[in-house]
Amino acid sequence: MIFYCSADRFSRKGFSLVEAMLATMILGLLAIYVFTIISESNRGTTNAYYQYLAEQVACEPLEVFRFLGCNAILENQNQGIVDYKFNEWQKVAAVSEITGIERPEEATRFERRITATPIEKGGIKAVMVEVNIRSSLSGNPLGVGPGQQLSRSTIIVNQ
Amino acid sequence: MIERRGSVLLLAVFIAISLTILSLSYFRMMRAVKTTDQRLESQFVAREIALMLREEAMAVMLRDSRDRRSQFFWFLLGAVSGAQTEMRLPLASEKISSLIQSGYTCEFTSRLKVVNFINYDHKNRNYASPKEGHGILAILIEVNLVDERQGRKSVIAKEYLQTQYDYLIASVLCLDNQGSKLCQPLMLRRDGQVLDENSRLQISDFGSRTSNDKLSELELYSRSTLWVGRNLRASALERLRVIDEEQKIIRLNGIMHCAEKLTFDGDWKIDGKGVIVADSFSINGALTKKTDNDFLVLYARKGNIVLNTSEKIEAALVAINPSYSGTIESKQSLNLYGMLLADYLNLDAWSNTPHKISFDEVCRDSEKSFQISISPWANFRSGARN
Repeated sequence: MIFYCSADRFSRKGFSLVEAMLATMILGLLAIYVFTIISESNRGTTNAYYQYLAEQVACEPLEVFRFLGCNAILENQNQGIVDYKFNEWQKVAAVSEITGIERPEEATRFERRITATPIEKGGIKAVMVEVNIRSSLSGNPLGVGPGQQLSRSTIIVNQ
Repeated sequence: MIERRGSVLLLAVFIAISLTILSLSYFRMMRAVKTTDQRLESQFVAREIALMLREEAMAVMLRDSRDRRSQFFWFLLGAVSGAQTEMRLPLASEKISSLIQSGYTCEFTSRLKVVNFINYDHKNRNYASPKEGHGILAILIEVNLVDERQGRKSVIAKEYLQTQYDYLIASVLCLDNQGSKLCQPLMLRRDGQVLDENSRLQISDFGSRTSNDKLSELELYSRSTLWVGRNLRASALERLRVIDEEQKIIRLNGIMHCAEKLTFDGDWKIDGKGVIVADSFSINGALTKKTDNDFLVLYARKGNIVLNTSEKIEAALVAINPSYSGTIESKQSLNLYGMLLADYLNLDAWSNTPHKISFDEVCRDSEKSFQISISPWANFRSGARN
């Protein structure tokens, strides 16, 4: 079987160099865009994980203190409660030596400061506990980045 | 040529639309992530506020349940299943703003609900007073965190918390249809014992109620379903700070049972109204009330009460048991302000000194004898309490 192709036919079918370059450029842009989204998404997931971890590290003493009660906090404000010290930045350990509470390894990237302020109204005593979390590493894309702080507070009422 | 330009243009338009859609999706996704973070934080704050409100509500409940002047006390004393009342929480009203960021406000309600209240025991026997009984209380907390940053109010987080607690109401005077059973300064269950004016025991203020009818059948605090604590050790009473050895205070609220002998050395203060039921008692110092309304009943259910002090005892002393062998002995001059109930008294065994019993009118005031005890938890067995 013989195919006949005229020069005119070639000039009408297929893509020119400009078209091909344009298509490549658009595809390239798309690829960059998709990679950016994937990369951003990964970064977002990591940030969310660290944000979640920071939340957990902040909420942990609040939960422990709520269980112990207002009086125990106020009585131990100077010496601290187990390994929770007040009014100073403390590195978070993966495992608490005293309580045995275990945390993910990544939690060691955080530092924590706990403050307790006694309050009273109408004969009812309470203590306001504030926990601040900051990153102990510089230049890390943590949920709580350098210079940033996550703060969680609660009020524990004496029963 | 026009056809080719058309196809390239179409392709470019298609790509542009796709990119725009993708960009918008990405933008929306990132905004959603940010909003989710904010919502989680707001939910955390709302939750912490709700927990704080619950704690304050519990503190107010515990305080007011002992205060006859409080609205809460009278609400509970007459409450039926389903009754509800608003609770005022002054600490939360003042301090809640310190937990939320500027631009946000918090609206909350705190209500108290009587889930059920039963005035009969597990054998369907009604208690002496319809006010006595046991039930379940619920604290209902509702918190709305409101965003007011853009001039209009929008609720960004809601938290609803319901917590239930067992409670019981009991009279510390052990009532019958005539009122208090502890109505005379001296009551002896065993027949034929007479103490006249020649006796070394000086008794003042006998009341009008003749209590000797069926005195031999008298039973006290037999409905153990109204006891706050049962079969406790002396160490448990100390742990609960009912008996505070450090401050020498007996803190009372309702009927407590200790399955041991209790000894009170030194001088003690009585704070509150209540009964301590124990096997036997040894009292070696003063027992005095903090206020006129305080009241203590010491009930020896198996043995005797031995007093080895001449200091003032402001309490009702009860020593009775099913074998009618309960008695009270005073090794020194007795100075009792309250009342005394025993199966018999053997004054020959008492010290050879004058002994005095003055009647405390609180023993007759049945209206003021109700005590409300709230448990820190609920076991949902109020209907089958035994």
